[in-house]
Amino acid sequence: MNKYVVARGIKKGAQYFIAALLAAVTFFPLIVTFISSLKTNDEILLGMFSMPKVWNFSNYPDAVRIANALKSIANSLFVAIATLVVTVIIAMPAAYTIARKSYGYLKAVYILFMAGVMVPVHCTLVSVTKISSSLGTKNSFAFLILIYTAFNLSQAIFLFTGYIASLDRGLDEAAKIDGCGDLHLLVRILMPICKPIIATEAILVFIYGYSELIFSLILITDSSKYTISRAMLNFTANYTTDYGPQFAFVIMSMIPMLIIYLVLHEKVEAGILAGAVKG
Amino acid sequence: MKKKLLAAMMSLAMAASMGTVCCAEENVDYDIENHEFKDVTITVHTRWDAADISGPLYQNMVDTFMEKYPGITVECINIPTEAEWENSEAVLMADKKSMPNIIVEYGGSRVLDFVEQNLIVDMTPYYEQYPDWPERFNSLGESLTNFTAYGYEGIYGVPYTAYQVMLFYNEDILNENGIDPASLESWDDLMAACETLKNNGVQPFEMGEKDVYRFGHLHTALNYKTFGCDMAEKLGTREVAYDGEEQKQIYNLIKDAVDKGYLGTNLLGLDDGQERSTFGTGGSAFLFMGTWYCAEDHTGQELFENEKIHALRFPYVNEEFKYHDMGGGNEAYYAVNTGDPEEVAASVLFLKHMTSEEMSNMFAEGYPAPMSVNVTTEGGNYLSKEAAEIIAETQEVRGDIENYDIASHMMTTVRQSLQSLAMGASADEVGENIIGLIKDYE
Amino acid sequence: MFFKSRRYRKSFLKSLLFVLPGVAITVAFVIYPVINTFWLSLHNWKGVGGAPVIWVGIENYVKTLTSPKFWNSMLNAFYFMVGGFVILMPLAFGMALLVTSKIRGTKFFKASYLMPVMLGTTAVGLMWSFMLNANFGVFAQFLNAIGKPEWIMNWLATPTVNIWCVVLVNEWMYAGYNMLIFAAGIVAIPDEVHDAALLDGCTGLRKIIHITVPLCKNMFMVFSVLCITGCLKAFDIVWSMTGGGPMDTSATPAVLLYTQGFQFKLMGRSGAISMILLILGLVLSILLNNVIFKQDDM
Repeated sequence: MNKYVVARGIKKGAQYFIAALLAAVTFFPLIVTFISSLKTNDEILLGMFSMPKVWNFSNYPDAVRIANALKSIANSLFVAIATLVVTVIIAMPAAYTIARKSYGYLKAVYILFMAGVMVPVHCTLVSVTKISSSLGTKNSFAFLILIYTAFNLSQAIFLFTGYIASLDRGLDEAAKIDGCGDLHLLVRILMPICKPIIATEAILVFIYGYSELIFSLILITDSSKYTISRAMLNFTANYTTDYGPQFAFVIMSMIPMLIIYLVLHEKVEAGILAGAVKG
Repeated sequence: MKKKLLAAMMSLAMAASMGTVCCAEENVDYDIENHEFKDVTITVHTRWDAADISGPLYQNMVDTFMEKYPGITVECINIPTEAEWENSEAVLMADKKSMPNIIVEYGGSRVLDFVEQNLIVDMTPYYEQYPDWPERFNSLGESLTNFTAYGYEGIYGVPYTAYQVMLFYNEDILNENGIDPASLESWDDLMAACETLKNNGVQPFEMGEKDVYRFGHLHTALNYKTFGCDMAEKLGTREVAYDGEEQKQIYNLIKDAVDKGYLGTNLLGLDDGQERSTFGTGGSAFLFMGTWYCAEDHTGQELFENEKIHALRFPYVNEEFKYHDMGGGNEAYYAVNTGDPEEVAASVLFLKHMTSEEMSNMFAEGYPAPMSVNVTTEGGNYLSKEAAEIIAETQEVRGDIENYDIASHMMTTVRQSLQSLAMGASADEVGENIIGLIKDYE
Repeated sequence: MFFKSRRYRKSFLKSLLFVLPGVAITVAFVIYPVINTFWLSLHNWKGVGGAPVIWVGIENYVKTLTSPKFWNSMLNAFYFMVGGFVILMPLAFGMALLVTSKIRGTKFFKASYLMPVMLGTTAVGLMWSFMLNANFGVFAQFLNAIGKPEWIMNWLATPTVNIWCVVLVNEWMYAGYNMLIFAAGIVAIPDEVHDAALLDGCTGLRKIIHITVPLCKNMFMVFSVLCITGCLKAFDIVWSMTGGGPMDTSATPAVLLYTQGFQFKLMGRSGAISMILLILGLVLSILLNNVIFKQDDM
C-alpha cells in the first residue's frame, strides 16, 4: 500500500515536472521578446538575453504610432472573429451531412474538401485578385472574410467530419425517435458535444484571420484598414530597422488573442461538463 | 540629353508613320495641365515607408496634388518591405483590371517585361507638350527610362532619387589603428588595411548577406572598378560569359576577402539593417553601402552626431577606372497604360507634380539623397555633402549589372549564386551555377 | 424501393442545402483558381497582363521533376514530415494527456502550451531568427557563457541545419495546437471505459497504449492528414525565418513555387509545382484514410 502511494507520488511529481518544463520552454522566447521590447536597437544587437540598462517603455508608444497598432489590432480582431463565425456556421452542417448521410455524391464532396485542404495559397493569388477586381471589392473586409473562410472551410469540415464520425450514432437515433429534424439535431445536440473540436478549429481559424498577410496585402490597400501583419511591415522595411518597437508590437498584438482564448477556454470547459452525454 | 532628343525625334517619326494605322492615339490630349478631371482615381504602388523620414515627404506630394486638382483622387499602396512589395506588384500587374496607375521600379529587365507588353506610358509626347519638363532631369537616372538597347524607342517613366555605392569609414577606428583614410585608393590598399585591422582584433566589415543584394552590389562595383562600366553591356548581351575568366576574377576578389574574414563574421546571419546598425555603433570599421545611408534617420547615433563617420570613393581595382562607379538612378516612377485615357492623363500629371521644382526641392531638403531631378537646395547633413562631392567627380555610372541582362531572372540568379561564396563555394562553382540556372530557365 | 419517394427526396434536398454553401465558396475561391493554375502549368507565361501565354504541354512538369532544386525542396518537406511524426505527434499527445489528467493547474498549462501558436507566424519567425543569430542571439550568448564558443554556428545559414531549425521551431509553435486536437479526442472517451479499465487493473502506460490511443484513432488520422498537408504546404514559417535561403537550401516546395512564380516570373513552372504538391497531398491523404486508418463508419 505504502509502495503504491510512493509510486503514485513519483508519477505525480514526474507529471508536474514535465508539465512545468514544457511550459518553461514555451515561455522562454516570450520572455526574451518581452525583454527585447524594452531595449534600444544597440542593446538588442549587443546580446538578446542581457537585461536592458534602462527599461525603455517608450517602444510601446512608438509601436502604437508607427504601426497604428490599436487600429490594426482592432481590424484584425474584427476580421478574425467574423471569419471564425462564418466558417463554423458553414462548416458544421456540411460536416454533419458528410459524416451522417450516405448519398453517393457526398464522397465526391468530401474529396473536394480534402483537395481544398491541400491547395497551396500562392497558386491562387492571381486568380483571386482577378475575381476581386472584377467584383470591385478592393478594400472590402467582407470579401477578405469570404476569402479567409474559403481557405479555412476545408480544414474545418475535415476536422468536424472526423469528430462527428467518431461519435456514437445512438444519439442521433434517439433524437430522431423523439421527432428531431436534422437542423434541430445539429444545433441542439451535436453542436454542444462538438464544442471541443469547434473550439480547436476556432482557435486556428482565429489565428489565421488575425495574422494572415498575403491576401490582406493584396486586397486591402487603405492604411486605415490594415491588419496586424500588414502593419508590421512598417517595422521591417529595409531603410528603417527599429527592433524595439517591433518586439513591443508583437507583445501588444498577442494580448487580445490571449484574452479571447482564456474567455473561450472557460466556455469550452463548461460546455464539456454541461454536455452530459459523452459518446 | 542628346541621346534623349534623338530618341524623341525617332519616336516622333515612328508615330507619324504609324498614324494612319492607329487612330486611337490621335485623340489623346497631351495638354494634361489644362485638361479637366472629374472623379478620377489613380492608384500609386510604391515602397514609401510611413515610418521613415521620407514617408511624410511623399505624403505631402500626394496631399498638395489632390488640393491642386480636386477632380483627382490619389490612392497609395505603400509596401515598404522588398519581398512583399515585389509580390504585390507581380500579382497586380498580372491582370489589366487590377493594375495600379503608377509603379515604382528600378529600371532594367523587370520593367522591360512591362515595356514589351506596351504597359508603360511613353513620356515623349508629354515632354514635347512641356519642353521645360525633361530639362528638369539630369543624366543620373537616364538608364532607368531608356530602353533603346532592347529596341524600344521612347522615354519610359520619370527617374527620381539617385545613388552611388561608396565606402563609409569610422574615423576613430582608423586612427587608432594607424590607417590613413586618404591612402585607401585601390582595392589592394583596402585589403591591406583590412589585414591590419584584423590583426589588431578589429572587424573591418560586417556585411549582412542574408539580404542577398549585398554581394550582388559588391560584384557589380568590383566589375566597374576592374573593367569599366562597359562591362554592364558586355555581360548583359552575354558577350562576356558569367563563367569566363573576367568574372571568375571578380568572384575570387570577393572570395578572398570572405575567406580572410574581412567582410564579416556572420555573413549569412545578418541582414542589411543589422549591418548598418553594427557599423553605426562602432562594431565595424567600414561599411560598403549606397548613399541612401546618408539620408537615413541617424538620430541618437553618437558616431554620426560627432561626425566620426565619413565617405570615401569605392576603391579601384584597375586605376584606369577609378572614376567608374556603381550608381545612377535609384528608382523611377512609371505610368501604367491601363487603357483608361483619363487615368493615364492624371497619372502623368501626378508625375509632373512630383518632379516639379517645388516638390523636388521640398523632398531633397527633408531627405538628403542624390536626385535624378535637378534640385536647388542647401539642405542635407555633413555626410550627404561629402557623398555629393564624390559623386560630382564620378565620370561614369551604371546600376546593378544583372539589370542590363536580357533575362529578367538574372538579378535573383546572380545574387543567389554569389551568396554561395559565403558558404565556401569556389569561383568556378559560382560561374557554373549561374550558367546552369540560365540554361534551366531558357 | 418505394420508400425512395417524397421523404427520400426531401431529405436528399436538405442534405444538398447543408453542403451547398461550403461547396460553392470552395469551388469559387479555391478550386477555380486551381483549375486556372493547372491550365497555366501547361503554358509558359511571364505573369504580366497581356503577355502571350504559350502552350508547352508537359514541359514544365518535366523541367520541375528533373530539377535538383525541386527535389531538395521535397527533401525539406520530408524533414518536416519526419519532424511532425517523430517529434510533434508524441509531444502533442503527451501534452494532451497532461492537460486532461488530474494534475492541478491544467488550465494554466493548456494556456501556456497554446501561447506560441497565438503569436502568429511572422512574430514567431522574427523572434526565433533573432534568438538563433550567431552574433547576438540567446543561444550564442549562452554558449559563450559556458565557454563553448566553438559550438556557435550560423544555424539558419548552414544547409540541413537550417531546415531542421525551422522544423523544430514549427513543432514548438504547433505542439500546443495539436494538443487540442488530441485533447478533444481524449475527453470524448466515455467515463465508463476509464472505469472499466481501472477495474481490470489497466493503468498508466498500459492504459494509454491499450485504451486511450486506440480510442483516439480518429484524432490520429486527423493529425496525420493535417500534418502531411501542412508539411507539403509549409511556407510562412520558412519564409519568415530563412526566406528559403541561402541558395534555396531551406526552401520547401511551397517556397519554391512562390519564388519561381513571383521572383523568376515563371508562372507555368510555379503552376506545375502547385499541381504536383496538390496531387501528392491528395494521394497521401486518401491512402492514409483508406489503408492505415480503415474506417468502417465513413
